[in-house]
Amino acid sequence: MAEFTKGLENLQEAITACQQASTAVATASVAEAAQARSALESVLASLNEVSDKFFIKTMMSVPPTKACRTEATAVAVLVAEQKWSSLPAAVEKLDKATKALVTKAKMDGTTIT
Amino acid sequence: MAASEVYYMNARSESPQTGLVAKMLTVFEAAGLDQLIKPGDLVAIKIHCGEWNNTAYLRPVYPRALADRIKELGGRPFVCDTTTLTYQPYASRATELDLKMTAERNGFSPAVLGCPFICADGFIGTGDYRVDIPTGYLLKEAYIAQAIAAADVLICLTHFKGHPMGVIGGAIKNLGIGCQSKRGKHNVHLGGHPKYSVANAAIWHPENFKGKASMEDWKILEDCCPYDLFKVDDDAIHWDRARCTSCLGCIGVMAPRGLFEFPEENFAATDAAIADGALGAVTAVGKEKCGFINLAIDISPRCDCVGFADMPIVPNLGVFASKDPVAIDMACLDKVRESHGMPGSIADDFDLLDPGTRKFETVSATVHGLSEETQINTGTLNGLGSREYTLIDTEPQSMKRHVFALDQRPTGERFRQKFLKFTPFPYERHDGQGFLREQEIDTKFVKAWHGNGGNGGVAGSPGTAEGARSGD
Repeated sequence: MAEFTKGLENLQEAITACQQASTAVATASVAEAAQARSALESVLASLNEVSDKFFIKTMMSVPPTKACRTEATAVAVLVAEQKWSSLPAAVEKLDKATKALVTKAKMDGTTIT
Repeated sequence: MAASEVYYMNARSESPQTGLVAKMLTVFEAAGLDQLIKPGDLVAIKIHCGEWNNTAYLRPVYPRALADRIKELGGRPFVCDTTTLTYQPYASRATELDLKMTAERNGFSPAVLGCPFICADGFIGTGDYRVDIPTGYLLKEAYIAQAIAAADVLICLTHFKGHPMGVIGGAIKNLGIGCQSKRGKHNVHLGGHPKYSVANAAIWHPENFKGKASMEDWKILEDCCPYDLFKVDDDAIHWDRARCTSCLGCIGVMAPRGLFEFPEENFAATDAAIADGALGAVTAVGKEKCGFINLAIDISPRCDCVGFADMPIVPNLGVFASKDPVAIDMACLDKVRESHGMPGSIADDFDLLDPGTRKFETVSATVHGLSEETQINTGTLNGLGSREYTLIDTEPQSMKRHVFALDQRPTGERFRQKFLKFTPFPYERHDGQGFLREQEIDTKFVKAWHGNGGNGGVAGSPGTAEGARSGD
């Protein structure tokens, strides 16, 4: 099986964006950044946990990992531009996308044949 | 091999004779498939009836219209499908009873079809006819569903779409899986094969089972196998690997839990075996007695054998007919490649909206590395057909052939006396106007776009147009 998949690529980009945002909020002093810290750590832990699942090697992982990539990128951009007021809503979207990915990675009821 | 003829009409419609049902019947005749049928012939119309809750399968009106046409030709049609391997723990078509109940729920009943709906391979799926296929690329024999092998003519009426294992689901797959008995499907899925069976292609990781206590749903590990080959102890899982049949019921359970490494070799070799199975089906019926119609509409990324249907990856493309199952699939595949991808579909997720891309092997295959041409290439190697084809644009038939068939008199002639006797319009009320209504309304206002607050409601006060306009 090909090692490279679009799902894995999306996931890695999401993790990278998330790490960048996480590093930046760690040193920011505003309240929104402080609130985002634990949420981003939780998201990062979840993304790393699913990264070695079989699901990520399948094409079925592409839509949910793409959603994570999109939301993580949005969070990273907001943090880089220090648009703190928009951050809580963006982090919430990222958290929701991550939870959807974790659920789908269990592949309950999935037919792969 | 010489190029085969494939008759084609696009998916656009603007009149009774250019509707998709009419086009299906038009290409059926243009390709000479009507000429295959002699009075008294038993004609199997092989369809895919769709898994429980799938919604992309072909509507029953297509086999109904085809059955009606076959009856006009003097044939005795029956619509059929076959039992499946279990494939997953919650299969809905693995016995005749389940298949027929699912098919009926999906609309395939004798009352709808105008002819019987048959499970072609018996109650469990062992009703079959063995046929030698000496030119088979991988398989050398096939087990064809008995009712199909017994038919005088086979018309494969196929929904062309993607498939997670076969990559494409077209005429070859309708033959190579769909026309095999359950026993035959075990053969095509390479159960017992020394290299390509699931037992030999999958890498087994029992060490990843950490005990019943750490897996709340451990029972499914045993219950996914209809041959009872998995046993779970408190701390270990055991697989009677030597008796594995490649029914595939366990893959979707074991792989996500890390107990199997995905058997890609099984999938790739099965795609080749599908074309051999197809050759078996054609051999059983007689090559000169088989016809193929592909409807490339509602082109979902995954097959009708899954219990859902994702949105189509490309727009509807049209209707095809041929006597060559390889050529017709190649023609459909080329049309999909030429097409734009559908915005918002999984093709969009993969950035495959531009024409010229190999869409199915990217969005449909369960894993990357499978090819959307394996069935076609193997079907060429084993003599099933030709990948070279001539696409013949087909003209619509006369409108009169496709209007309401049960009474073709004009409505004035049909209803005049009845409307006099049971007059639907109350001429005697409201000075001949018939009904109580306003004399005039503000059509300009109700046609205008008034915006909304995000919930679909029209802005302004409810009740009157004037109120809405003034904000009162």
